[in-house]
Amino acid sequence: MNNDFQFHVHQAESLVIDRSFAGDSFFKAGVKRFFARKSNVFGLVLLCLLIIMSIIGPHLSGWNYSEQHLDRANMAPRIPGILSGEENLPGTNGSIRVNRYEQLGLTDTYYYFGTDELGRDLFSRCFQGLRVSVLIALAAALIDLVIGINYGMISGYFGGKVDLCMQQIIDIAGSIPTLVVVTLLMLVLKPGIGTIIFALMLTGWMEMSIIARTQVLKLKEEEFVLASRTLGAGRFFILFKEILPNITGALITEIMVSIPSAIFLETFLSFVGLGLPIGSCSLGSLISSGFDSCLLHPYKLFPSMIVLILLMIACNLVADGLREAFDTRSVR
Amino acid sequence: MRKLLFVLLPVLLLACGCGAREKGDDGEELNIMLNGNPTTMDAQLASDSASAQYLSPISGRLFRYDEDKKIVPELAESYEVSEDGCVYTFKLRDGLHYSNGEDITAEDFVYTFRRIVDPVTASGCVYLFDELCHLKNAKEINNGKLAVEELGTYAQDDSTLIMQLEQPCAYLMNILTMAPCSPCSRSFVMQCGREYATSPETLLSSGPYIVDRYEPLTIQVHYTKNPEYVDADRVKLSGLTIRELSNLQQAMMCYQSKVADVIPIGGEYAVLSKEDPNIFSCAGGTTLYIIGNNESCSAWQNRNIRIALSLAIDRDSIVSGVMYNCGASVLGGIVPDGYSGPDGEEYIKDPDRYKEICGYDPEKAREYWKKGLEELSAKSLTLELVTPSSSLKFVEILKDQWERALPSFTIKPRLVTFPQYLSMLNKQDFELACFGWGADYPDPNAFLELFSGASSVNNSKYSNDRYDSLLEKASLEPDPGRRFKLLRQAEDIIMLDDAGVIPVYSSGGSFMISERVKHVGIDFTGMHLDLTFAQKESTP
Amino acid sequence: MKKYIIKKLVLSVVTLLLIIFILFLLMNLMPGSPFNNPKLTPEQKEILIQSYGLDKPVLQRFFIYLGNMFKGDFGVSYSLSVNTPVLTLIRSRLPVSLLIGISAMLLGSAAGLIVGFLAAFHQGKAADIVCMILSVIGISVPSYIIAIALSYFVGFRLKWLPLLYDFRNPVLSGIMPVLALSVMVMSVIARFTRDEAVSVLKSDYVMFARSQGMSGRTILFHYVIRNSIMQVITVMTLLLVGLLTGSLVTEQIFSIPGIGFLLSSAISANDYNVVITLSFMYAAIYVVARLILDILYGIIDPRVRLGGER
Repeated sequence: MNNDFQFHVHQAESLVIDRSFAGDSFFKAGVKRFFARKSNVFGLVLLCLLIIMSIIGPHLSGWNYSEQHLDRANMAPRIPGILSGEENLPGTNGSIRVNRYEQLGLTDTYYYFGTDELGRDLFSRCFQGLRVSVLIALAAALIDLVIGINYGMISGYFGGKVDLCMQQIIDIAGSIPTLVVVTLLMLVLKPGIGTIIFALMLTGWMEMSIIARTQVLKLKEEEFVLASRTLGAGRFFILFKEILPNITGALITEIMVSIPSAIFLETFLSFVGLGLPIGSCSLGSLISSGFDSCLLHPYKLFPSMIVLILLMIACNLVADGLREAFDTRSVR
Repeated sequence: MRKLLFVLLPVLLLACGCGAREKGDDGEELNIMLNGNPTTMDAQLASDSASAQYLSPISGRLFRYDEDKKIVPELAESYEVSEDGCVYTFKLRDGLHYSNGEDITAEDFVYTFRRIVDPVTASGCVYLFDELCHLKNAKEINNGKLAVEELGTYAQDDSTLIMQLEQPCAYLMNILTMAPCSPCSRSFVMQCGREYATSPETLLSSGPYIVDRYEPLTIQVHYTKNPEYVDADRVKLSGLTIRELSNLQQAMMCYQSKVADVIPIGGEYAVLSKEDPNIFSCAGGTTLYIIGNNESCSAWQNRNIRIALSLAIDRDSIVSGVMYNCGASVLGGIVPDGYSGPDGEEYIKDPDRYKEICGYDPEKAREYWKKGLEELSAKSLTLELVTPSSSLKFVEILKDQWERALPSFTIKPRLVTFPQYLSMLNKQDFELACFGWGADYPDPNAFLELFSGASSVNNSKYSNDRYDSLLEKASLEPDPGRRFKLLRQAEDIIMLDDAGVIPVYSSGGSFMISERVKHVGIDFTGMHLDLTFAQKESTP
Repeated sequence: MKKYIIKKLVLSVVTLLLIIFILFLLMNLMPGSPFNNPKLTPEQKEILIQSYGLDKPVLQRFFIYLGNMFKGDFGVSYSLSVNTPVLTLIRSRLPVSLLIGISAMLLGSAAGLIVGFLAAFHQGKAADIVCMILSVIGISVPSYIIAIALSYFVGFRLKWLPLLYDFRNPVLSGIMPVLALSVMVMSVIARFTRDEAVSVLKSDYVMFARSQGMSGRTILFHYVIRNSIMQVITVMTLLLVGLLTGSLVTEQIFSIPGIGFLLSSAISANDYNVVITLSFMYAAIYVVARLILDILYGIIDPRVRLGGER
């Protein structure tokens, strides 16, 4: 009856898959690991909230983001039960306490974040600005990913003449002041989001490529790359399948660093007349106009600044979480 | 790297520490903050307002403005005008010296004027002599047709200067108050050569102060008292510092903590300081108009459209919204308020004189607009407005007001850098444009002549022969009362008959001047301070 | 390596020449002229253009400029500071920018390294998250906002430090600008350091060292710093060039006579020679910094070979 050379089979299924040990697919496992950490979940929820707000936010307060009421300029925030709309202003003859709502006899009007110097509702503007800035952030990240990383990795891995040549190009491109490039762009392009993205494409990828190159230089002599090479793997296979997964940390960090600078580049573009059309807004432009009177009316600066910081924190948490969850090394 | 870092850090700190600490005596030194920094300290090249401001403490001129904005002699003793108003004879005061002790003579003034006009100097100030006061042969010399010695100015003796004009000029004295007209010594300029006016050692002062510390394009210039100045005994300050500071909030902090005695004020601080007696402002020096292209923009060629555009602008709210009512006022014609003749007659009798054109009346604007569109047989209009990027906020408000008042109208603002703005204007490459102008002399003509056929800045190519001939007649008219009448007639033509320009607002400057500081003069533009006899109470 | 350095040096010279040439072409395309006083008449402008030789063709101007450059003459400023040699302008401003930029760099990097390593050693714990959030804030808040806040609280309210930069007392009056600029540096470096250190800490050799009972400190100095410093230095060079040129608003707040203002106002005024000289200088710093970087790679990590193709 007993045959030592045969598996002892009771049920046919158990032979096929050992469900308790084989585990989930790579993707499923990653998702599980991602949600296992509270900070990741928090980041994801925050990000979703911000995206939802960027869609519905501009319509919540009932004020249009571009509607001007010059008589209602510089109203402090007023929220039922929380803020009364009063503010303390440091005049040259001593401090002045004002409540613009009472001055204007607006008993039933609430600007949650206050109004700007042209009487536009900052609540709507803040989330309208978020919408634009999320787009710019996405574009910046994409440009980093597509141009910056590939350029840097190829330059670093291939070395020799290719590297020298590619690095000369970066040296040249990096040495021409952004303002010159942008002013010249203005001659051929019309203001708008497409132009902003184009300007980013011209100027935004160099840092990323330098960082990617350093990473590749460091890793290309490592044992696992040598092993892969001796096994006959192709160059691009090694580059993208072996090296790339090992350098995601620095790359994600660089993307995170480049997003705020992209958001502020947009503000800079508006200054030379290349940014968004007049009347629209972005987080960057809100922050820089809030800065102009931040000691008098700090409420103009804070909402957009805080939204930007929240956006960045959410992105960082999610990106870090994703990397940890899908890192090949932590899977071991 | 770590080691390097630790080695470098102390070295750097040491390097920082080497600068010795000085303590100037605050009591008599005035600290001033201004927008802008000097592009040159060579007076004869100083064609911009910031340089003029930095130069004024070291410039002694024939005449200067006193605290009441009146012209008083400074280096001149007296002057005479010939019957036809074309020859001026100036008598210089005795005992005039440069800061190095050298005498100031009439010959020096001749050299100064020649230096401005000489094409070799390539000065941007030539317009003072060839366009504004028509000094004899100035234009020909500048174009290289005549030798510089042919200029219509010469020294009769050491203290008598003669100027010959091609036509009478009602505002020659005003031009002579400007920094480029302060004398310079030929021997000193020759001796310094290319280095002239690039350091305190290569600068010569004829005014109340001497430059003590200066580097090209600096953001801080320090002056001390000039003992050789003709009125040195009346100069009370021992020195002054002028700093560039473009951040208003920081300037305010400096003022409140007494780091600065005089700061420019604007923005929202102006509202908060409304009751403050220490604000001094003046709104008459600079104007802002909207002009349109009379050659290629068909919409602008239509008078009804022009009037509609003008009537749809709520100038009051622009002045309060953009300028916070500080150093700015509504402009109801070509000429801003506050200009009067030598006999004290105000040029503007009624500020609302062009109410039908420059008032705010959206109803009427719509009527004109409809009429205009019919005449153009258009259903909607889209116009591009060219503006330098500094006037972003103004354009935001303007766009809102225009589009709200006028149906089916889209205005496309185009913000460009300043050089591009100028080149677009010069090439008539625009539909509508913002056009700002700062007056050089306090006379209605400074604004009216902008739109004459002969003007080189008449970028809208506005042309009306009657307007030109009235201005021409006015310039030859020696009687101030009749001259004003002619100018008013010309203004009526451009405003009422043609509605050829849309005036928006006039602005100037406003300063916060600490109560410890007395006797600071402000000129008619509101932008230049005269510190000759300023005083400051020492802090206990 | 030697061959690589020589090759790179020769190429750098070519690059710099190319940069000047490209800048010449680009500046020629810039709209408007350097003479931007609206009161200048067209004839007057023509005289100015001729007197500076700007009416000659671009190529001719380029070679004239190049010839003068080898003689040490970088031309004069046209409109920012009339007729002043560009070198004079830069000479008075560069030291200030260098001093503040490098101090901010050193302070920021030192703080960033410490924070980064701390976070890495406490990976996943509260300290790590706090460091992350702080660095995100540092990256997102522009330095001019930090500058005005510092100015208000430290300079105006507490009166601990002078509000404005004073060249007679650069140490005290330089503290606030340096602090304001170093926040960004610190945040960026902390982020990179943390990431690099974490990946080193996860590597086999550190695991091995740990299992051998090596102390955290030994691991830090023997493995972590050595293996993560390369990336950090790369980031530092990138930040340095930005610090030296791009702190315009911070310069304005503290009234610092620096390079940032010079470059941006030269570009917006079309002051060709100033733009070209500054960009040239900027490019030279950039190229040299990156060359040093490449050499450092080889020293820090001898396995890195830049020359040969694989």
